Amino acid sequence: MNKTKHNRRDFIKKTSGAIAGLAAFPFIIPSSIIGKNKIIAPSDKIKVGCIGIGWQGTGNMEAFLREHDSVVIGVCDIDKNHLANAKSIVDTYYGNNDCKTYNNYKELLERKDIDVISLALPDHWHGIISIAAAKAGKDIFGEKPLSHNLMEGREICNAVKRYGRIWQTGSWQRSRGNFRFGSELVRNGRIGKVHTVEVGLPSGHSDFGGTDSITNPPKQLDYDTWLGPAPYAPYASARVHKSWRWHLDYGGGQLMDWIGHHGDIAHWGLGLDNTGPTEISGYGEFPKTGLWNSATKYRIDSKYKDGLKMVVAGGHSDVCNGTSGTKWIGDEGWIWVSRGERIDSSNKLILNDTIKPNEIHLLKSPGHARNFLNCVKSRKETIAPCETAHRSASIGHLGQIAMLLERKIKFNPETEEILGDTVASRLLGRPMRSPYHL
Amino acid sequence: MLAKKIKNIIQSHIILITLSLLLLQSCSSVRVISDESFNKISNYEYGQSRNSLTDFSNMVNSLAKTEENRELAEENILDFLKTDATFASKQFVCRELRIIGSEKSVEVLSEMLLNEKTTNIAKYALENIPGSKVDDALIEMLPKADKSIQLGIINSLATRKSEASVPSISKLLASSNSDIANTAASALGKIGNDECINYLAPYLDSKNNIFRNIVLDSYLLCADELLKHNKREEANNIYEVLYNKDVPLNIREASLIGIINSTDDKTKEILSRIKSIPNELKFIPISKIRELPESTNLLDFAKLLPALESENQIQLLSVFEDRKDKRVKSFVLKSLNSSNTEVRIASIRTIANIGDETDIIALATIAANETGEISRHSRASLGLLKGNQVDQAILLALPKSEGSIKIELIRTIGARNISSAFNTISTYTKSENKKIRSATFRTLEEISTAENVEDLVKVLFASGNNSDSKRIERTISKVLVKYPENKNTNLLLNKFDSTSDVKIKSSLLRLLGFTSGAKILQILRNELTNKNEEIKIAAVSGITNWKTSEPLDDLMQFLTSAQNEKVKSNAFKGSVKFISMDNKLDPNEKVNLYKEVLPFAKTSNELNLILDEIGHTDSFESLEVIKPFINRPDLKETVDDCINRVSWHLHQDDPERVKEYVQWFLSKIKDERFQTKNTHLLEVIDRYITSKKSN
Repeated sequence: MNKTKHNRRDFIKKTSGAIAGLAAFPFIIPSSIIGKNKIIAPSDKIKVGCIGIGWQGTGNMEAFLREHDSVVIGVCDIDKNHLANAKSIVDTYYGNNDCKTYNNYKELLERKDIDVISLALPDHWHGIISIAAAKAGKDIFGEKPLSHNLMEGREICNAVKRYGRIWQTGSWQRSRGNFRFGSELVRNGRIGKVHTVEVGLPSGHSDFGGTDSITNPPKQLDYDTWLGPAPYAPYASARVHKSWRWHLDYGGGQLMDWIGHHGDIAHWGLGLDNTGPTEISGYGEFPKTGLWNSATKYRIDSKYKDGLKMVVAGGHSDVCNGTSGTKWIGDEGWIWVSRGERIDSSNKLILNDTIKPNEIHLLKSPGHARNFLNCVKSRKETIAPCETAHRSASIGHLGQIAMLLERKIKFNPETEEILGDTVASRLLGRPMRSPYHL
Repeated sequence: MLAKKIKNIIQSHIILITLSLLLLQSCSSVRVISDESFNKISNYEYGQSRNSLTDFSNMVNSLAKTEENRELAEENILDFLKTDATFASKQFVCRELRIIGSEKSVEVLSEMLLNEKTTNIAKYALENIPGSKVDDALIEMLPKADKSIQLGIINSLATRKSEASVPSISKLLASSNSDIANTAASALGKIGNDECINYLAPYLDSKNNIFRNIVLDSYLLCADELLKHNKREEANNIYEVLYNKDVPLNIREASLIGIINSTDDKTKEILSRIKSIPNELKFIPISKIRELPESTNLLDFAKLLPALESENQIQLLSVFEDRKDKRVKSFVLKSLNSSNTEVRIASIRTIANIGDETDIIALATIAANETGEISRHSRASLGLLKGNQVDQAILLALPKSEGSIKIELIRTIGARNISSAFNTISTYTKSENKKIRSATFRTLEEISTAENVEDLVKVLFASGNNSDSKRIERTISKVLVKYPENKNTNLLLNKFDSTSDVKIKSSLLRLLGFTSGAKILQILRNELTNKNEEIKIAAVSGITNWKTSEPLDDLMQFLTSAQNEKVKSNAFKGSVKFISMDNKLDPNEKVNLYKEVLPFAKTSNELNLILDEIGHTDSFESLEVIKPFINRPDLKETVDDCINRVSWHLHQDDPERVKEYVQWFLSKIKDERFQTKNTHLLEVIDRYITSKKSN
């Protein structure tokens, strides 16, 4: 039997007895790592390693810093500036110099003392590192969309299941009251039988800075690794950090950036977390000039089993009145939810309703990172597990294929195969640049 | 100049050569893609306009709709790949071949695959093309290729699940090049047939840890494949072999999952594993209970609960919470007394799903006597207890209970929204216990409907002290907002007319502000001039509560004339609210109104409130108004956000003017965060100006 195993999950056991242990063996813990009203020895906390600590990754990392029972002990990035910034945040927070830095994610994953990995990478890197983390026996907090393409999403789910890992997706809207309440109202029939759901997403491309000009990559960035499995392309600052999402080689435009939020909520309200559409057609306006090539205006019409219709659109004023959010339309009215705690309905009175104890209650999350850490301990499914994230993303993946080919595709959500269209089927996955593979 | 001429000459020569080659090639295939189309893309370099590429792509998509045209388009593209067109253009057409290519592409792509410069673009196309000819070609190339190219070929064969490639790939397991050996081991797992199992088996105990981990993972994948094909016993044997080996914990965990998945009697297997395996592995079989058929009796699992370590108890309790099997309840109830806080919380949460009316008092007692998380979870569980008898049982228990338990039950009535309890609950508004009264008012907010307003007003009239009046007033206001019904407006109006009690009159004025109608608004306006200061203050509050911006002028007028500071403050807040919600005003008009109100902001809070609204008003005047406040530390965040937000929103309307403003603010505000954020904004504005000029 491998001896290292005793160091794993012992943290849960120790956490459970932490208060009694403290009384028997008093020792000094820096005040900065004493959580609110709870004292847990540093060695008993859930150890977090963060891979990808740019824009989103830093926010996620800070969420783990704030939790009383987790401690960030390692950070990894291929941009030295990101790495130095993240280490500085962590060390300042804990008042020490203990946070280890890595350029190579494999080295961080090899650490036996790390229990949990927080991933926030460009989409084209999601598949490889998520699967590697699952294989390394780590529980994972990953970002939406789950994957760059549908096949990679399925492979991530398979690996997570095979290794019995806990997965939380950064679809944090599920942890907010208005989205839960809206979904509960729909699930409990307050607007009757739902026949249509509209998913309004942003359009265009946000300008995060950077230019299309081809230059040498900056010294702090390992650009070839950044490209990783994506097809070769020379460096341009508008290709990388933040802006990658507007290029189909690395992301999927506004559609894929947001489908894991409002599309995910659409599924949640309808109980469709483990399935997908059967027919998808779409139309997008793709820019012909400039580096970014993802659709700036788009509309995807899908059908589900039992005839439910879903419309996903960016830049179309007839969908969700041109706003971002999710609108379920039933034979007795509609409900709309969006960010900023917003919720509205054709029947204002139902917004005063309480979901009765005998009705369907969706999980009330105490916060997205908190829900994840609780599940790491209880081994319960999180509020946004892997399969759910895969199904939310698949709405976008299939829509993307339909838009690119400009034709309707038929899909079997059980086998996840495109029916009768071998050309479209080829777009379900994407060959990787050598030597990368899942 | 000379250099430019030479460049032009070279370019025109390249075009000529390309054209000639294309003409030559055109002899060999029928053209469905014109030479002109190819010419447009043949010199494409990264960073240039993608116009021609997009057109080309659309054309190929269109051609691919018929088999005949698809074939011809493929041939034309293959001819193009033989020319000396740029790498970037060839990479682009390989993307097209990925979608429309057939086995006819194998020869050309194979040649490119073996060339280090073109190997990846060829792989991109070839890997997706169906047909055994592709597999055969890849297998044939495998031994000929350089090491770096071999890696790509192995990966392509793995993605294609090429069973024919297994013997060739398996030979590479022994490669001295670790990258090749590792990739080969991984590939065999992805292909995952019986043959792969045999080839991988000798390497299960390899001394090279990285390689061994890959082999073990692949071995597991092969077993999964067997299971998928219903070869349960064979799969189970593999999982058992791995589980019993000295392997890393992650492999052991995955093997255990496999063992349970491949066992016929899963219930028995899970039970036996929980009893027999080390604690750190128990979470696997415990989690697997969730997958057992719904009809499974979980009692035998519950019997294990007391003997488990606390971390496993938490895991098992969370399974019971999900499975909702009431038969395990007695064991869960015992866990309520655990010395471990997290076990207790897990038990309390589980009771919400498996408990009934008999658990009400136990949960209420815990909620009342404990603090923090335990109390919070107990309250949540009381609110969620299922069953038709629970509400009735709570109402029956209420009169018999006392003190803190009574308070918990009153709270629960609110959480469960038991509206039929209105009359029962109302009696506690007269309780001598302040905490009971407080809980009662909160619960009345939850359960009252439009029908209860009259009774609530009676409570208001009867309320003896100020704080109770405020609480009941709040309760009524919530009900009025929830249920905007005329009959209640009339009710309040009648009460207002018939009472002379200043306190009650004031309450009713504030409440009338939550209703609607011209008559009501006029009453509120009239009372602004009431000689009684208390009524005047109440009228301002009532107007401030108004749902539309109609009384804006009244409030602004009042603001300039009022003497009382409290009244002024209320009128100020109301004015800001109404300006912000008035959709008829354009941004400039809004800012002008804010400017009129601004001198009445006395505190930091008031300044932050109005400057925040100004920051949400897209007018150049907003940037002017904010200028005097840039050095106030207490307003910094609001001021910074205002500058950035307004500038962003206006930069496409008049970029040069916004640029001047941003530069001015940058020269005055020196902190790093502000500088970074707004220097980026300046860059965006500059790009916008450049793009406008080029268009």
